[in-house]
Amino acid sequence: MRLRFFLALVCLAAAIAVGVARPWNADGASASAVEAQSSLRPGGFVVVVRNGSREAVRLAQVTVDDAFVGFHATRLVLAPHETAQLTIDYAWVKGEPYEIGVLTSTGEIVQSDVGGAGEG
Amino acid sequence: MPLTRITRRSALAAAASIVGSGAVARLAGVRTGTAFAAPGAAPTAGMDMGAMPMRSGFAEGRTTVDPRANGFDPMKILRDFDWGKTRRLASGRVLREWEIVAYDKEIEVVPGVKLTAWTYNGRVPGPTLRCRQGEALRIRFVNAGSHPHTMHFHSIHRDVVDGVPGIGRGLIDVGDRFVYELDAEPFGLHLYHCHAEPLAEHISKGLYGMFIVDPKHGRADADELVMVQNAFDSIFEGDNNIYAVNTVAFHFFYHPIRVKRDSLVRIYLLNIVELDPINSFHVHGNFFHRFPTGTSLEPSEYTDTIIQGQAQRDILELRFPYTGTYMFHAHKTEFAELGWMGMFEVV
Repeated sequence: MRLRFFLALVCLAAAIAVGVARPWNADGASASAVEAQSSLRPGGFVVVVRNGSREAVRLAQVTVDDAFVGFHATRLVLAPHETAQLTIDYAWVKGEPYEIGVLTSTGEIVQSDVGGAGEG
Repeated sequence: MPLTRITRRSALAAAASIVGSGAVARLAGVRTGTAFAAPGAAPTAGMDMGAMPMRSGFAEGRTTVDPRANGFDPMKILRDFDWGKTRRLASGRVLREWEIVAYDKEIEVVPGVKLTAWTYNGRVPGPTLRCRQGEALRIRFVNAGSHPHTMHFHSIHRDVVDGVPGIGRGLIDVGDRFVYELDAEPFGLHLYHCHAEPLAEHISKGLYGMFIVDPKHGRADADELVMVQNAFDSIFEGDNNIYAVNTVAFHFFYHPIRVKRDSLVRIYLLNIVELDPINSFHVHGNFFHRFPTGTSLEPSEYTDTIIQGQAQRDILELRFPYTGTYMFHAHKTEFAELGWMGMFEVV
């Protein structure tokens, strides 16, 4: 009886793990090794994105504080270990924090924070 | 201080690789090259944007999604009414019939971002089913998707065709089919959607559409526009991050809706956004008459902004007295700047 309960628990845990981890995209690869670092520049931001995963990553969109924004990118497709520099024009306010999101082609987001007290 | 955070979905992927579950192979598998395309060009697999300086995003670069790649066009959805096929029964009553097939499909919801949607007839929103009050309706539903689905109509009908699990036929299994039979009552602007559980997922992945029942004597001639306010949660955080009317973010911002000055414009407006409690609609430079749910021929309000909860819908009627370009958008500005923004071009 105890073994049966244990097996049921294991099955449930596995089902939850598979269920919640399933991406929308059939080819949805992990972007967990994709990193972003953002900094202030006069009149905007600079974001450096590094692809630390073993697969190519395609950058699609950028948001600042939940709003899509235009951006310049040195590249949009990042092979493993490649980096891209994104330049965003933005009228930031000294001392205020900003959250920058980089959306990949599969809908994943790599977020970084910039600004806030002590910066700018 | 600069800081990197990974969204929940990515964190789950990382966790899955530790656990070693069946999902690992998918998540850690080789990503096939999806395309970035130039404006107006069909996506081309493997197109290399390499080290070229690029400009993209909301304001510049590729601002549109190729309707051919998606298989549907938000602009055409505006004026696309599916009247089905009709024949007259022995009683003299009109029988109107449709076939609706549910299946999975990858769609691009903002330039460069593709998601796997669950669709009715391969489009999001599903076809706008239109009929006249009092007709007999027959909807032949085929489930060619990957999960059990249903069709639940907002109308007056018997419980056995309610499209709810456990009542009547309930869930329609993968590969199975069912015929929903109901009466076209009451007249107004309604909707249909999948009622399988979990509800939020089945709806937010795309299983919904508009259902219009015209009053027996019709409405005044007008330029009629279907606007389904929808949204997508691409990262499974229980929070939408892409908003639109008719699925593609900013589509009508870059492709204004052309209407004629002084002509009657009738907007069928539905809010089907899951995960957010309310949505709204605001038009610039004008006011409109509001007909809540379209079930009365008398407007309830003359305004330029309305709020809608989930599944709430309104018919809006207006005439533009001046030519020019007029914005319309959700007045929840977060939604607007994440895609729910468009333009009327009055000529």
